[in-house]
Amino acid sequence: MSITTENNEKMITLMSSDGEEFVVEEAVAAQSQTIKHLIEDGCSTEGSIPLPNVTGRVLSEVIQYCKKHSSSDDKEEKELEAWDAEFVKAADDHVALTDLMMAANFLDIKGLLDLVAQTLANMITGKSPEEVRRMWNIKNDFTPEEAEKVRKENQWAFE
Amino acid sequence: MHTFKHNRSPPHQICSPLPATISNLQSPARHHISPPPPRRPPPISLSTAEMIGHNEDILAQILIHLPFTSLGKFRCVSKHWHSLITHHIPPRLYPPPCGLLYLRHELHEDARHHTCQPSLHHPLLLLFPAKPANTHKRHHPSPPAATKHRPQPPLFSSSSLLPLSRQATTTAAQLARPATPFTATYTHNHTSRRRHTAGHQPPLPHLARDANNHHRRHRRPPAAAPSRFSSSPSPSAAPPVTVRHEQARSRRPDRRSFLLPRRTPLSAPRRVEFAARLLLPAPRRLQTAAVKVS
Repeated sequence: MSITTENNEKMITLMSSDGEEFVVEEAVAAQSQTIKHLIEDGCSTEGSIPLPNVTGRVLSEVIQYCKKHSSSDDKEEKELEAWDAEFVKAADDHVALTDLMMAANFLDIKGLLDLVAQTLANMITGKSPEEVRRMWNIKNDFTPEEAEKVRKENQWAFE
Repeated sequence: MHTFKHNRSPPHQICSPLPATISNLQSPARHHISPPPPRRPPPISLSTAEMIGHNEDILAQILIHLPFTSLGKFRCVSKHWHSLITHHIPPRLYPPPCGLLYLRHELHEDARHHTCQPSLHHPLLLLFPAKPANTHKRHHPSPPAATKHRPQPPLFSSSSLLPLSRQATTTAAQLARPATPFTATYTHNHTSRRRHTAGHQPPLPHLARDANNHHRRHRRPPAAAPSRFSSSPSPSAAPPVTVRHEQARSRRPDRRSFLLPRRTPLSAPRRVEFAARLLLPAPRRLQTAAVKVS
């Protein structure tokens, strides 16, 4: 970490796509590799950092995560895990999780990305291909023959 | 009530108990985030959901967390998913003891349909014939020029089979050794009964003993053998070193031969053979095994 944390000294302003502004400590914002690089490049000196891909609602959740994880480095892992579980449980909808995942991907927050990916994976594990298609609006572009063939090839997974 | 009249706010806001808070929420304002997570019902944004279903990076992040069976299932979702899972998602290794038992049934099914995909499956699956793109050329071994038809090099070499079958305590990390520089290709040969040849190089030191025994048992030198590769239409390319393997039935039965019928016509290196004996339900399917030095 090249950024030295001087609490309450360095504050960064993040601006979401819908114009909402969030003032966070630099150490919190630097959990996102994207923002960290922006700070290192000196983008934070001139006003707020615009994040055009993230809405205010999602950004506030991301910041909660970052705050928790930056402040509780020395705390017990278990507590953090429990908090993470609560965090993703609160966003029970797959759409909310999807938004969160996109934001985590854009902001490059490894821990959050893994957490949400795992949650989404758990969510779709028991589902059928049709349900997954419906969930994410995926078009089934197999022809009936191809679909039959692929289905046959992977029949073992359906048993 | 009197004070609200100066607000010039619409009537419904006058009745609300906290008009100031509402206006604060509606206008973009600088504020600090409070620690407890306030949850609102998320707006339905189908576009985002659509994006994730088609975004390869993010999709891969999710798919690598999925168990083995789900990956097989989700190959049926769409062509994009099929290719993503088949070519880009590394297999998630199971602990060996249960992995062996768990996979056995799947191997059986997969081998029956000739659909083994090395990039998806467990290293054990490398024993089984990856579906050749040139199935119609089955009896004409591919010349070196036709390498584009060959399945991709497996992520894991079959050298991980030995520790898997011998020690039940092998960890997944041990299994996930980087691939050694040879690929194993297997072809079916249902008609020919002649002896098979295979280019072979002992990949691991502890296998050298087996390989040496192999050499000692050769009746003829490798060059005189009717090599499958020597009939390739491009003889200008350096032919791989071929080593004759005797058929299993003419071999002295070893102590593991009780695992399969003795007439099994396997001609692979012994470690492949051993694992095949453990796993392959119909041993006559695997008649020729060629380990090519790449």
